[in-house]
Amino acid sequence: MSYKQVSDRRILMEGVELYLVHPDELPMAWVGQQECWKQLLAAWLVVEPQDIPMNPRLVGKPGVGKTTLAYAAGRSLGREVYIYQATMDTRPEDLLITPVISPEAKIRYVASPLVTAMIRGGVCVLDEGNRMSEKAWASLAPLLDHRRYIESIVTGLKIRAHKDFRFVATLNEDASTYELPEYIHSRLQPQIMVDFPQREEELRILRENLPFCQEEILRYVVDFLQKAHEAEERYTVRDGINVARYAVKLLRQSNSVDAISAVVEGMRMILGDEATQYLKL
Amino acid sequence: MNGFWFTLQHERLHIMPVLHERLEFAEAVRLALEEIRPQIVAVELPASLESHVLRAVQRLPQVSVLLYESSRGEPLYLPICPADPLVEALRWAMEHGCTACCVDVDIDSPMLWHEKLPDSYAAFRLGHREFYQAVVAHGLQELHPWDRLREQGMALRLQRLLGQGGQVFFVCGMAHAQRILEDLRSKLPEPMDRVQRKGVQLFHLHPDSMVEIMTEPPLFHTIYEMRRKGLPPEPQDNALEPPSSAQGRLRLLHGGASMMQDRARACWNAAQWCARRCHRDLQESPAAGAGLRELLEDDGPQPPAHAHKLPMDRQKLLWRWLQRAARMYRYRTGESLQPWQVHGLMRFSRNYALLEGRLLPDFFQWVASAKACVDEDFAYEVWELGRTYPWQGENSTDLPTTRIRGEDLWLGMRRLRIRPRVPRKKRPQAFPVRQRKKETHPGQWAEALDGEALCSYPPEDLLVERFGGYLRQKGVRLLSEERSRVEPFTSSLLDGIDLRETLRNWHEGRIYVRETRRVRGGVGAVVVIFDPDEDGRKYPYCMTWYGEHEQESDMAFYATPLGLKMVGPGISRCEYGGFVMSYPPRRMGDIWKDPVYQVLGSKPEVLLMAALDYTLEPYVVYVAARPPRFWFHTLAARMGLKIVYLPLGQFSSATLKRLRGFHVLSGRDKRLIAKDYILGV
Repeated sequence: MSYKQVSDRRILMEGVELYLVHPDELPMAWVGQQECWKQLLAAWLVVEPQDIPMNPRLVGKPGVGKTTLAYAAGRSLGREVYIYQATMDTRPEDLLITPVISPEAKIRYVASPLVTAMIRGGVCVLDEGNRMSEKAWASLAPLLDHRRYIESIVTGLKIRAHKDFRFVATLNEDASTYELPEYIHSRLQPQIMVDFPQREEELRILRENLPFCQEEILRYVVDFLQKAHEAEERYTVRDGINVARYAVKLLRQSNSVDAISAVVEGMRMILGDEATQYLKL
Repeated sequence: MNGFWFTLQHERLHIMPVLHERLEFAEAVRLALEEIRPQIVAVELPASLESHVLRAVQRLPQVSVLLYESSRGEPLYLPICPADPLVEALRWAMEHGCTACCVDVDIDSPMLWHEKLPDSYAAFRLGHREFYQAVVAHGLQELHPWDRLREQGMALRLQRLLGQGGQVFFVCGMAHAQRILEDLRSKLPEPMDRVQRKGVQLFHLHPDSMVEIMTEPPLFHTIYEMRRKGLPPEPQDNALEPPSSAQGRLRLLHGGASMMQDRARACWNAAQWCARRCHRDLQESPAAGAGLRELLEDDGPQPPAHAHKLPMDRQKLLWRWLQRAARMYRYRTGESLQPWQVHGLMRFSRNYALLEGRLLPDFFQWVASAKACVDEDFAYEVWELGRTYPWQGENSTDLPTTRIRGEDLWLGMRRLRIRPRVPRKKRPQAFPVRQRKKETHPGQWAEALDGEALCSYPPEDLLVERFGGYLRQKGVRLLSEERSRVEPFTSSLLDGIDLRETLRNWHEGRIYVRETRRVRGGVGAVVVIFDPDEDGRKYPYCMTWYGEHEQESDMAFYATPLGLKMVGPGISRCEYGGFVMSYPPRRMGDIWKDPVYQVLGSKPEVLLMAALDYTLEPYVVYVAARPPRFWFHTLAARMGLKIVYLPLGQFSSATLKRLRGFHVLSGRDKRLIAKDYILGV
């Protein structure tokens, strides 16, 4: 795709000046569940010049680490990763190129994280994709099939994706989401299910996120999470991290509190009293 | 010697280098033995285990496992399965009255490490000679000191076997063949190994453990076994073909006894069908212009009589497996695989295999790909067919049965240098499908369906209710959008700036604002038509259900027959043809018996009429592939109502699929156990 680089984050494409956004730099690492990792990389793999990457969707309960997986896998390819948070209000132009009025009362065209990733050959993580409407998804239809381009009505540009561009959407399952139409569903293949981690993996995730936390606290929290998973409760490792982090703070604040009391208190404050029934005392 | 198999030769000795436990090499051994017809067959297995191994080989096709301990107390095990080159060699020898012997040295030192060898499918494509030469040219990995002792010991024993006269055929791992060949030319020391091993136990393997300890999927062993002595016959009956509704009722009257047998017979038939169509056929090419859908249904030409002498093509085997699983999936769920799903499955499984250095996916990857690119129901069919091994009963008359759990094994390590395996503490990757319960005796589940006190399964009610709520919101939103208005900004921003319109008219220098006009009232009833059932036979089960509490709508539907597909005791799976939901609950009469509705032309029209009659709000949402007759719009207008039509194609196929299948429980007590039988809600 031909364009002229004006500066680091500005390009000129067919006479239209586009402002690009910055990639995300986050301290996220993926621990455990290697099959999910492999499946995501397999979906992105290209085996010959005529081949095109697939556009996987990550599904699973909130807090199991879908965004972390997508981000960490993207970084492992050595590419810039751009996370776009989809919302109910996301419109097609927000997803592609947004016109903003500059201080000089002129229109400035700003490329979204998705279009920036397309231009720079990065990875776009469309987070919580099913929070945005079908209309917004419709604008991505040509990008997600063999055509690999988007059409920006606002600028009149047809932008082709760089060959290294990769796309992944994370989808949540709750009442506040939209239904994806069939033609989008068929383009978001494969569906990678991110499930609750096993005990050892969960412990490793907690250690990775809270390297300063006492082992005793982590074990209590992992016991709780495993029992909650067995009972098909929605508590996730994200909740576990919050509980353990709060328990550490409590312990630091007061020497009279022991580890288990701190965890119980953390659980009450963060998840409510009903969560403590899954705590093995 | 043909291009498919290859041996190294020394005097009257043929050494066949193989990859252990791989189908392609078992086939090569079988074809080579048929051609060479040796008098003595030797394999790279410890001589101290010979008597136990030969007994296990004699039990084939029943699969056995040898369990024993090393002197350090480490448990070791050795499975004896049909599609294993070493086992095939011993089995052929025993069947043909030849001498069968194990010549490896029992060094009692469990050694495990990866051998970085190419996928065995490459040997099928390149030819075994080329494969072996390429492996040797790239260099085998670092030699372990114990290996040299073993190789010299095997060479010495082969020298002695050569002394007995006749042709000798020896099967060993690729790593050893060349060095053993060289050792045969020199004088060798007597190996210092144990001649006898105590405490070796032979067990019958429980069928549930087969997937966990076999390197190849059990289906491949089944197909291999079926083809060993000729092609199996073409399956004649069509088990698992969808029965007509009349047949379904008849089955129910007979207690559904044949349903479970059908399942086992369908797997057996599918394996036979695959076995006849998995050989290499360079002439065969897909029908010109055929799409994936046609290819999925294509049986291909009848195989030639000598097809069992042609090597099996693993890639073709995977395709046949997929075809048969797709058929079972269609029967069980009423869904067909879409071309885009097959396309995605093929690409994804290829990439997944490549990431682990293989050309074709293994059993786990194949099932995981089926789940990722289609759904869990299809993955279950792939898994169920893949674990088919009809000869393995839960018990055996001659040996005790053992179960070996995945946690005890080395799953994840693909190729081993020595045969007896050492269990290793490594968490196996569980197959991505959930086990489903089975009947203890045929017809058990259907017996519990007495037709009284029928009720729904609450998680499915929630799903339908949520979808109904979504449709109500969508209907209102659609009407609001139709009524929205854009105008130049004068005194009020109304509902906000319309940026698109403002930019479009930028030259005017004016700002445009949008006004969203809310519709009065809401949507009272929702009709969803999945299938209009034009001939009126596919969905004979018509029912009206009342909401059980204030948050639940009344519902009337037409569906597939009750009792046709039993998934648990008194739990029948049905599929909606269409339904109507009306809120608030407990107002709807039995619309299927209401004489007023009898004049209407079809079931969808009865549902729509009921929606118009029972709605308390001015709008009715109608979701179907085709809009209702114009007459209904006129009627609705006369009643002061409006029908909002939404095409079915606007909705996610995955959601529709989840909604469409539902379960009818025979009594509320079944709600307590239903979650153990109903998956994926």
